[in-house]
Amino acid sequence: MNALVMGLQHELGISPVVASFGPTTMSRLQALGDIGFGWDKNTNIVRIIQHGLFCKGYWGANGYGGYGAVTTEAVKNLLTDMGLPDGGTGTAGGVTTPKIFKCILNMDAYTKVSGGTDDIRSIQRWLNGGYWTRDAYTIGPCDGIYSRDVQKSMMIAIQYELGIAAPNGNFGPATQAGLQTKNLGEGSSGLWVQLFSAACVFNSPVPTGTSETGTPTTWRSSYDSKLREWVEIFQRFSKLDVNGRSDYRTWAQLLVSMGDPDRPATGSDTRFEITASRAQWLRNNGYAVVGRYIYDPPGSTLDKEIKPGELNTMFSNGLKVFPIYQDNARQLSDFTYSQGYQHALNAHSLASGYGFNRGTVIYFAVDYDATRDEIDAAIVPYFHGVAAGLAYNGRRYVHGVYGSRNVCTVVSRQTGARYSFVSGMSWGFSGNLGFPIPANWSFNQIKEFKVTNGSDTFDLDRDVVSGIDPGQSSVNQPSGPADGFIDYVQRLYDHAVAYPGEGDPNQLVMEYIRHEAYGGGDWDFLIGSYNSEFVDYADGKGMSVMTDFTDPYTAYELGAEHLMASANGHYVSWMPSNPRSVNAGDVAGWGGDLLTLYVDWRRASDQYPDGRTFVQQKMAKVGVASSFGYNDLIEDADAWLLAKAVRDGRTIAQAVRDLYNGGGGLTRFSRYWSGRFSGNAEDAKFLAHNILTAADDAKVIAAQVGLVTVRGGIKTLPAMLGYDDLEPFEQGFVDVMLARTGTERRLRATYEANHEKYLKAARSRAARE
Amino acid sequence: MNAVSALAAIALPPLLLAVFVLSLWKTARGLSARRWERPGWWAFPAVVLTGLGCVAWFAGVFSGGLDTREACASRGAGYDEAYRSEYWREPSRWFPLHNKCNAGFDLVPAWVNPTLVAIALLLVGCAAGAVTTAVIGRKKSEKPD
Repeated sequence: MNALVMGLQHELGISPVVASFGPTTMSRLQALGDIGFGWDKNTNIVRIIQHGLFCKGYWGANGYGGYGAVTTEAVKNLLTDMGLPDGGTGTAGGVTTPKIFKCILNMDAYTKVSGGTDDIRSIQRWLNGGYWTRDAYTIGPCDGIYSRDVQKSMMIAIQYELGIAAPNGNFGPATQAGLQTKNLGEGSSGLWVQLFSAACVFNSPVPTGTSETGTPTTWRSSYDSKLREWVEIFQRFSKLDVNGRSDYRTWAQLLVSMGDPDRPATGSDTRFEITASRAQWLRNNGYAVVGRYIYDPPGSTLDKEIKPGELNTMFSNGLKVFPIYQDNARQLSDFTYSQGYQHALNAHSLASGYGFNRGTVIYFAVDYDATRDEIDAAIVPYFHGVAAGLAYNGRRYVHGVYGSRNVCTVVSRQTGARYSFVSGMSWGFSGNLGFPIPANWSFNQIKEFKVTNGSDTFDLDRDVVSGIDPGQSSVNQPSGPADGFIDYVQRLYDHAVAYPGEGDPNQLVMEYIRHEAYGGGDWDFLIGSYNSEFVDYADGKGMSVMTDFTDPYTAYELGAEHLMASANGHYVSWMPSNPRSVNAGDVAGWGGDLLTLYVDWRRASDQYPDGRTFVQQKMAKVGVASSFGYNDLIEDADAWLLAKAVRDGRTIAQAVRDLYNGGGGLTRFSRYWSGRFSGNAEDAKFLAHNILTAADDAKVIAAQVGLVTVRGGIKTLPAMLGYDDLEPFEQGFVDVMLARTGTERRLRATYEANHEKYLKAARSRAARE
Repeated sequence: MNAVSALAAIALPPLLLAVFVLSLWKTARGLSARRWERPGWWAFPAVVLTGLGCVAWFAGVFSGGLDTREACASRGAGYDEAYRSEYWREPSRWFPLHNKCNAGFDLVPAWVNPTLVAIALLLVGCAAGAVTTAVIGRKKSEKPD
């Protein structure tokens, strides 16, 4: 298209030519006049039209250079697709005006494209048809996709209808004043309902929670009960007054990312310290939660990080806080995977230092108008780095995202960001125009203003609060929730004992804890299905799945579901009588992890031709991204120990208490090593070899094929690899296991000290309760 | 695992594959040679459909892997604990097959459930075909010369 534009400029006598259809090109074309059937002043210009039409997907001509019936028909089709009148029958009409010429040479589509909807395309055509002759209106695409261009077309149409003299597409004071008079409700009809309904369609469906697909609406000219219902849902989702009418705040919320910046808001964020008097002012003015920075990068003059004692000041004044992490984050080059990883490590360290409780969401900032290409190329990898960095520290904290609507939406979808803090007040950001607010929005920043509190002044951002992130109202909560887990297992066990149906209470407990994440398909095949009647029974008793807890020995977050799934596997499929044989229980525990680690190795075999080096660097290494991480090994070891204890006659509740409160975890690796691996390197290597290659157990074979080839996409099964290649990989496994048992011995004093501290805290809590 | 079951585990897959291939060949050959007029022929497409149905069902039922969180993460889909908690029965259900990371993303491929429905209908068609051809055959044989 650029070549055609430059060709046209050449024909129009413009020099030098540029790849842009600018005002000079337009004025020269206007001087030339409309081009229609039989026009023959410049055959090259006609050719440019014809080739442009071909590029747009219309049959531009049979012979080139003459504006004949075929070209006329093609232009008519184009006009029709745009929603414009075609100009007449036969050779009448189909005229290429300068405005249409510009459209022929742009990249807009006028037919529905993939991802587009008929409803939005209808609106696009309607807007074009109604306003294309107006000076300020640019003919927009008719591709069925809501975009920045469509949003601007809509705003200009509204401004024309409001009688604004020079529409510019901005949500300015005249537009705001005009819309305050357009309070429509059920029973209304006509043009303003069409405009309002179109804005509703652009914001449809309303995401009514992460578990639902949302509520859609369709374009209409009558304000009927269906539209009123949708508006109520939208208002509820957007935290507006729910009245089902097109009041001013609803118009604003539909049209711009900040909505009405003066509407009530109970959230805020600021770079200024919250002193006692400021906290009092915030409370008195209806603010309940404040976003504060946990970091101020070197060289910054903003002094924006939380000050000592500030959190207590906020809490004592009844305010909650949500932490924000921003290290520059103002340009594309600030976002790489490794930057994200480092930022997460720093954020964890700082948040821990402030005492933020486990599970707190930290909002990592993207403080500039990132385009979609930039989001995909840099922002998403940055957040993958953030997630990995937080995982390195045991996922004590969870990542959220601050940025434009598009940044928040894409980052949440692709990196699992928990909540979105939307920079709505930057309404002109390309990432805010033409994108609905993300489903997981927690705060929407709508206005920055200066607070004057006596002689004190400070800047504050007003944030509308959705309520899904309540903020933090305390810090330094005791971080030894293993006692919570122990109590939880005890309660579950008590229910299992009281359960009138059939089943081993210990197994019922294991099954209940694993049933949501480790049930169905593979697990049914491997160790059998869980007892769904007991799940119903326990649910009925008010139980729910506890997903994780803190290991009192390492302070690592352990996955309760994975732990109990593996324990369940070992329990129902206990180790074979031959200590060198493997079975489904091993697949449910260490064996499955070793098979997936094999997949990782084969994928990285160019970089790590030696399997032993790979395993030594990747397996159970703290802070290394791996499918067999440190947490996994702890959970595998604990699962085996729990299964053994239960098989030896302890209840699951006792076994859990012994392991996490009775000091059992202090020697977990040593006992695992001596119990499952016979305490010697030779047997351990045999076991590693067997889990990778054994062909005498259908479930083990299925695991090898399923995990390595079907899921992992590695065609070379371990058994197909030469022994000289596979043996170092197996040796690496033995090395790591030995190293862990050795480390356990060396760090025993530290572990014991941690454990004593934990028990002391637990006793102290018990005394308080 | 004893020697007999180990042998069965090794021998059964190629045996089943051989039956499937044979049925496929018989089905194709029978179509061109009008063997579908014989009731017994309908067993072959039924075997083929059953085989395809098993493949589709296995593809669906084992779509979650050993670690659903990892499977979701590897597909770029967020694991919604609230959703999983609410719909915990879904992954263990025989039909329709679902193993959703969240409300909007299912690990079970979209083609699986429609394929299973289509195969079930075709199997009913096979049974109907066999019965119809048997009835027609009987009527022909009862017809006086």
